[in-house]
Amino acid sequence: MRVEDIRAYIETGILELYVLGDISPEEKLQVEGMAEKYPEIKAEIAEIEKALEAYALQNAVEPSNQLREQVLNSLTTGFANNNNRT
Amino acid sequence: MTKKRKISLSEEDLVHSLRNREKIAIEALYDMYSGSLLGVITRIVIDEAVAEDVLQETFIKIWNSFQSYSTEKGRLFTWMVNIARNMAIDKIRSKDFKNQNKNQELENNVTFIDEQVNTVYKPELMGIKDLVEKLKPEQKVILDLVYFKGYTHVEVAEELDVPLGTVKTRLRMAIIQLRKYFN
Repeated sequence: MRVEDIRAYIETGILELYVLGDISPEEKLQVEGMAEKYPEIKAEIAEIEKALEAYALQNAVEPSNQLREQVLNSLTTGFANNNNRT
Repeated sequence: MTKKRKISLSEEDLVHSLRNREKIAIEALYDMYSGSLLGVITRIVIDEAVAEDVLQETFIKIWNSFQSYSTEKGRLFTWMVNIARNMAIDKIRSKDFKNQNKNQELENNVTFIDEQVNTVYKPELMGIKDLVEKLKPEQKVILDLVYFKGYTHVEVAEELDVPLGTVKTRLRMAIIQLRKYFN
């Protein structure tokens, strides 16, 4: 693929939809194949991801204080069970 | 109110300790991402108590299906936020949720939730005004519908009566503004 074609592919906006999880399984595989092949595409995806992650952090909603313990308990219970099984 | 110190690891270390099923990974995961994930979930399910239930279920799913995450495919947060969003959407579409009459119309203004819940005030985010100025309203509304409300770009096009191509372009432009601002 020529540089212009890679550019054009990026400009379709498909990488944004990929990161947002708003594409079909076929398109997803296609994007992943392209990312593997072309470092520019991989880098573009990484930039989109970083920006959206920062945006989510900026829009964070803090859970109530007791939720932390509740979640940790429910996960560590699974943790103990997993260990017991092995 | 004093709070215990939050645990923070580099993404690489966190992924490593999650793979090894270490206890500290659970705490770090919660401390680093609960707010960001709850922000997305709350904007979809609206009800705060339900949102916290969905957050808990999301963490359980993340923990139990962690072997399906691969760093090759992208950042940890991207994978997790897509799980959180899907679980929130499943929740509002579920029968018991609808029966409880808690089903809020998705058409609610996206900013609605920010008036409802106490979004944490972070002094370091004083620059937020600059971002708002950079993001054009017609770009921001599309980004927020997809990212925070779980709309597909096809649904956005129908909802706002805007051509699909325009939706994609604005979404990309919005994210380019975010990149300029954050990265």
